[in-house]
Amino acid sequence: MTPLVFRTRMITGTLTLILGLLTLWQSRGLPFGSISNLRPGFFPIIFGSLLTLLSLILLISLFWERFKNKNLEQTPPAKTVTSAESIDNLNAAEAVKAAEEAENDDDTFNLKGVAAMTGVFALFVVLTYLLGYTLASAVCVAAAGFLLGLRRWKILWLGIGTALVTWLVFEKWMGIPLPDGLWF
Amino acid sequence: MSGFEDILAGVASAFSIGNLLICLLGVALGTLVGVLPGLGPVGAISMLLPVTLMMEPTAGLILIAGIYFGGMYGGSTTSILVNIPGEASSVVTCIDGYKLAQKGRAGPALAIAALASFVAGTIGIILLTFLAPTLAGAAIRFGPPEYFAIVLVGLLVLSRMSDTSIVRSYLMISVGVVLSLIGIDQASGTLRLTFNSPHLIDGLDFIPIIMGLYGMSEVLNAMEASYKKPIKADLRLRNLMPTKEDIKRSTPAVMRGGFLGFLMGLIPGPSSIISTYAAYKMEKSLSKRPEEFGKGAIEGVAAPEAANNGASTGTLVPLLSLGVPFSPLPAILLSAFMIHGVTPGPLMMNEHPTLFWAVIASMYIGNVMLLVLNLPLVGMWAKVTHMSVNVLMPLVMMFCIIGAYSVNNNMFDVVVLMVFGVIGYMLRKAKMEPSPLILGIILGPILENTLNQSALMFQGNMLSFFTRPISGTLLAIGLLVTFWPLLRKAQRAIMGRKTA
Repeated sequence: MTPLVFRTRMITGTLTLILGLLTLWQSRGLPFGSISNLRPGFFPIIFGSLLTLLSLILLISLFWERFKNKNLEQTPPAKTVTSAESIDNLNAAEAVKAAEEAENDDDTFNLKGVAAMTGVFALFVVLTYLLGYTLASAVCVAAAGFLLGLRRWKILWLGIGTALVTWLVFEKWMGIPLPDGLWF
Repeated sequence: MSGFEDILAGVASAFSIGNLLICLLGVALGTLVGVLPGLGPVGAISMLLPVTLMMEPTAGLILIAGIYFGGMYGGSTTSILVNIPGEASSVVTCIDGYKLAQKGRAGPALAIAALASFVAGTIGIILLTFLAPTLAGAAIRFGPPEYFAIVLVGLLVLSRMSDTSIVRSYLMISVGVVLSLIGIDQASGTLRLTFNSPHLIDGLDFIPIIMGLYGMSEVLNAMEASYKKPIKADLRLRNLMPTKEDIKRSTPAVMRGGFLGFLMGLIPGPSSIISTYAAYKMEKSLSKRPEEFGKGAIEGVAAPEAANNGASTGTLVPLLSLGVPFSPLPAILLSAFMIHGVTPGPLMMNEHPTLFWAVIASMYIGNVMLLVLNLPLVGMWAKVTHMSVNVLMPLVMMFCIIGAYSVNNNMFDVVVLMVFGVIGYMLRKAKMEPSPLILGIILGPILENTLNQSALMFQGNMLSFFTRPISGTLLAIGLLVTFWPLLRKAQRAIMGRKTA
């Protein structure tokens, strides 16, 4: 397990633990019922407890693994598929894992990029309320194109083109009412 | 209308000009997303689900089925030309496909991949045509306990197959089920897990969640991914022709792979991935020239491509006959049916016979269209692999936003889309599979309803599940699958003690 996998699993385990606890907290007033008459609280309490328990197991197992292998880089990597021979040694679950590793073998976490793209989304929501969907989409597609490496006139064309096509296809042709915005 | 007349009406509907064009659009879009870097059929179908709402149900479902089958074809093009699988189910094709391309035999490799997909797809659709109605006929007698057992076992088996860790799989399923519980409880009208937010009263719509996990996460991933350049290959029609030797070697591999894939598709789990590995292993062990595998054996392309298409069709059997999806793509297909007011399952053939047979007929038509699209036009698809990701991904992002917004004309769904985009990106980095989460969201309400109904039926005596042959057998399988690793450990410990 690489340090990135360890960290992201820790974050995932913490988030699911919070979700499990919130589920239990929100279900505290719901009637549980009996085995012959299940009430609305039955499933949330069962699955909230399961979620909390499994999150704790995941977090403890991650700490245990870290304790066993202080240097995470030294742990054996997952089995990969690079040759015909490597396939012979895989079981079903390992085959699925190896296929997904092969499809997505990058091992970096672009925190700045994710934060910037989330910012573009937040901007989109605000601009949609103010300027309307079409203009907001032009600005935000251009911004997303910039984050993905597009420069100069290509950004302009992408923004304007997307806004125009969006408006023609979705609002005019399909009749989806896109928000107009407060200023228009 | 009698059964035969229903079939004729369905076939006639599939052959109408409008539906033929929709089918062509679907298979072309499917091939496109299969070829394009990053975006797969799961993301594409979830993006297009809201668009199909504007269509008549038959047309909408034909479009979705077209994308489903097209995606399976397109994945092989990037595997062979770029050595990057368009889909996880095309990983095995890379091994021998790319080696063949390096040897200047990209054309025959692509042709064999397309022919294998066509033959296996056709075998699968024929088997589906006969098997789905038969199974649906038997399933019409199923009650809530049987459905509860099928859904539960489906989730348990899937989790054993989709991740090496049972804890991570069950965790993802639990997250999905908890998310499905948000909103008004259908049985009692009670509000659950809404945190007093008006946005959560109607629950979380699964479309923005799926779009976020599979579409937006790709946009986020594209900011750092590097894309390799494809091998330049002369893909004019005359260069695509496989030799007689290629066809002779591929034919048995295609037949075996197709049948194996179809059978594996009937089992819960990511069968389209597992079947490609199983078919490759089988061909290597049966081959007279096993040493050629990994160095450019044509069977190494034919078998996994056939298995992938066979499995994709096989997974439709439990969906159409029982109404239960066993992997993410059929789960999204199930939601596509449901948003059009059609519930797949035993009653579908009685309630919507024309639609059912029109969708089946469109699969035959789509398969022929795909062969035409992927053989003479393979050069065009190869050019798509050059498409700039920094132009494509902002468009994907905009499409996701519009799709999420149009479900309820609500900006809250756009926020849900982004939140699940970040979650999908993080799960990707954590090497955790999101498909059990999707199945948890879609199957959670079915699990709850059928358990409620079963509890009322049994008046609290849950052991009655085991007195009914089908639910009893299925639950026994579920228990075995869950506790199998523990049983194996115990067996090894006992054996170790004996030898000591």
